Amino acid sequence: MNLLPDTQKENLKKGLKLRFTVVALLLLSAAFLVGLIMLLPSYFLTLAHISQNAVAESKIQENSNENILNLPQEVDSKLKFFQSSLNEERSVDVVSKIVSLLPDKVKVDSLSFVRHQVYKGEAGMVITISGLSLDRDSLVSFGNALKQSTYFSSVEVPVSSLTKERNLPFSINIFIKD
Amino acid sequence: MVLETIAKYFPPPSFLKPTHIGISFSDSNIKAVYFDRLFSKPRIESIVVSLEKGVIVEGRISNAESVVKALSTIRQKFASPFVFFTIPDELTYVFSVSIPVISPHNITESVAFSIEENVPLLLSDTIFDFKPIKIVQSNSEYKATVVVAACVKKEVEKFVDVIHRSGLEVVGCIHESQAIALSVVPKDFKGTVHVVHARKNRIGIYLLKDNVVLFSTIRSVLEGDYKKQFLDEYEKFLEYCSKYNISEEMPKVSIFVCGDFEYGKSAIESLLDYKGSTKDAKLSNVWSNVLEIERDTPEISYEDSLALAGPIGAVLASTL
Repeated sequence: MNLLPDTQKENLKKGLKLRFTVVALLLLSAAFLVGLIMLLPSYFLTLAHISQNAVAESKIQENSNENILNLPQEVDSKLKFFQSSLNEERSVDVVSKIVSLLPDKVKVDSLSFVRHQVYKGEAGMVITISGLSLDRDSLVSFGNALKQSTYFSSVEVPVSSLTKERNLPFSINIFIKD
Repeated sequence: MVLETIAKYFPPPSFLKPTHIGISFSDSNIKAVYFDRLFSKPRIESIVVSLEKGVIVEGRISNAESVVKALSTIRQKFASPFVFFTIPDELTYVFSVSIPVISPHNITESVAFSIEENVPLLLSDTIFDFKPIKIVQSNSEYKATVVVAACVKKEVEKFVDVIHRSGLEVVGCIHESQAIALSVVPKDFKGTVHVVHARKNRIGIYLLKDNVVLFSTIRSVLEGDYKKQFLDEYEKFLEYCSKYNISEEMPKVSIFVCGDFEYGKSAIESLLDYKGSTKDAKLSNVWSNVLEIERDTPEISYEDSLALAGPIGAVLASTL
């Protein structure tokens, strides 16, 4: 029982609600504070990671800057490479020339090109043609056609390739001066 | 509304209820007691501030300024500003009534209707509260027996006003008889009890069942034979008791006596000499619901503590 006037009872209830609210807020604040304190180590660790990453990224950035700054050298070397290629004999032209001289009875299995070779004291490209000739005459005429062409500096048809009458496997070495 | 629903399922812890001072007013003094209910062996503080004659007359405040001054002394004595006070029995009417129950709100309305039948006051001049003690179903409706305490609104407001003016804050009030019952009767006690509050100029006798005061009588004591006047009042009280159909329990009833030690002793002697006295009459232990008196002796002497039953009961009373 409580014989207080109703207005007083209402005030009491308000006071109780107020105290309840204050206690609830205090508990909430305490929980928030504890949470904040417990999150601090993770925060500092993350902060350290971020700064490390930033340093690493700045290094990468510096390297890319250097790369950009080195671009003229790189372009220069590539240009030199292309210029050097421009002065040399084009492989397509060489193959085209060989094929134009090829008799019907001679089949070429492989062609190999090796640039910047020295042959008898001179620099140039060495071409090795391997294949099969149906008869000896065709091979001899192919060798002669190559020798007569002014396009090639030197043509060597090994004598061993002419030992058989028919189906002669052959290998011809051609040298073209730079 | 939301908070009430939450509080129903998750009751707030006791520390949300502030500890309060218990204060009781009488014509000759104001008694105050303070202890923390949460401790098993609380530190007890008390003060009795005497009042000049005419400051409080028959429980009514006549000189508010003097009461404020006395309460200011009490305010300085204790750390807590919260007060639960008792309303003198002279201003309180306690009665039981049976009312039909249709809805929870209807109970208060029904009790309000019964006020003017049982109290010589207008409903608008009355403050009342009630406690249901029994609910029975008859046919299709429920009937509740409630104990109602009603008191003079104007006088209660005067008490609240003087308490505020003294710098204290009211958290509740209860009629003096119920406060005394809370103090002297062990809280787990079941059954019928008589409580005698014997003072020099007043005798109050209360009928309790299961720790609830069913009704109370009060009598002014005139010059003359104290024992005779007490027995006269007690006989009248027993006549009232017969109205409550508890005569079959009378031989077993316990009588707890408190108040001024000297007059309490006289009351006990009167009861022991009373015809057909098979009752268990004894001076009360006002600390029965506060501490174990055999183990934790309070600093206040037993004789003095008997007079503090009212304020101790006010400390034990619940605020809401």
